[in-house]
Amino acid sequence: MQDEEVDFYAVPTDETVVIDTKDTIYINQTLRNGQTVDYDGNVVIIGDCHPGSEIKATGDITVWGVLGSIAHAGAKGNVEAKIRALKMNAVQLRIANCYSRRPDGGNIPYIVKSSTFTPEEARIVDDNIVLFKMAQN
Amino acid sequence: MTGSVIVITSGKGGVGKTTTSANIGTALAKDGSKVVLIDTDIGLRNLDLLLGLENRIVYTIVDVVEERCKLKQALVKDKKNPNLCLLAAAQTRDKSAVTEEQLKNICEQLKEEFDYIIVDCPAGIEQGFQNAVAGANEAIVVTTPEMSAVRDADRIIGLLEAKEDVKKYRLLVNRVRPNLVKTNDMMSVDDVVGILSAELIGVIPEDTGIITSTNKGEPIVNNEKSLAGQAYMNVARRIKGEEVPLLDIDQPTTFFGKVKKFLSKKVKVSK
Repeated sequence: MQDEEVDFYAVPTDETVVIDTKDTIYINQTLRNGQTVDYDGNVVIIGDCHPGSEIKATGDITVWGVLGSIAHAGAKGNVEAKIRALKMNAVQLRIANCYSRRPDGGNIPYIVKSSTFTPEEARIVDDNIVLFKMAQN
Repeated sequence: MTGSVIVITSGKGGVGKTTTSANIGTALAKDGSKVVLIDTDIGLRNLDLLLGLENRIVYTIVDVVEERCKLKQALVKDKKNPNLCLLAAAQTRDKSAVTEEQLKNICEQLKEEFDYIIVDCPAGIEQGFQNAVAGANEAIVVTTPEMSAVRDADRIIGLLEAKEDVKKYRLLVNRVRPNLVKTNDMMSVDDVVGILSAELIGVIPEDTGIITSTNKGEPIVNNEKSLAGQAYMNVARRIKGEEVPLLDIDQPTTFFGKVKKFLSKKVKVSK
């Protein structure tokens, strides 16, 4: 499955805002190779996720940094779950039972050098995992 | 004053842990400190070869742990430097012969007599690694500028960060080839430090002299002309707390290269 990029701006509306009542865990460190997080709820990581680490959540996954590893959101089957990161360089993205992988490009260092972050969100659209830009650069 | 226990580890095999241990130990001893080197690679010991002390080993760490001899009897004095000792690994056993508690105990005993206890860790993350790290309060993570070594170093750093006793760890980038870095065929030291987010303690250039030094059983720090030897000497000085700038390892070897480098230096002209 390939990732598609679509421009999308969040538009404020008058509709009722959905409040997520699931537990959310904050992890205030970078995940190194071999470190895993497995949580029943949403996961927020303030830091990077190095290749070799794994995040598994029944809810959403938000990485305030570079996501360079495997992230599995909606692990119990929630197809509404999302994966967000300031820089998406995930080895694999999994939401519920869909999965998609990074395009082949050799073993590039996980941080592709750039001075700007490009926040993106991954969601399931028509049984595919699709990436959306979250802000205009 | 108690000694400092420094473990030299990497995760990946073959990146230069034993070479680093032998050279840092020799350099610290040359500088006047009392140093003991411990080889924890039981079953695949190499540290004794690099120091040229293979023939002098009577008792090993397993003999100490199984109480066939006292700790002092198992320490082998270096050929050239009386400040340096080796506690050799056993070659006929494997890593299950020693426990973490036992190694920690040995480190505690040695701390009273020596300024630096350098523990040479085996490759991997299993019992050998757990033993080696058990008594350490400091670590040096050795890596080469290759993806596989850097990944494994990241794993090791993750494991070290979880150990309460290891108060600090620093990164040593080994076998750097500046000409390959220039053509973008090899990661630069900055790339490696960026990926691992660790404090750098030294950069050692690739040096064919290492092969000869291993075959002769003489650590390369004894050769003052070798760049790698000088770099190891600088690492020892940094361990002691001195601030030493990084060596310029991009030194040309051909005559034309040397002329080019000389001419590229800006010359101040006084009026």
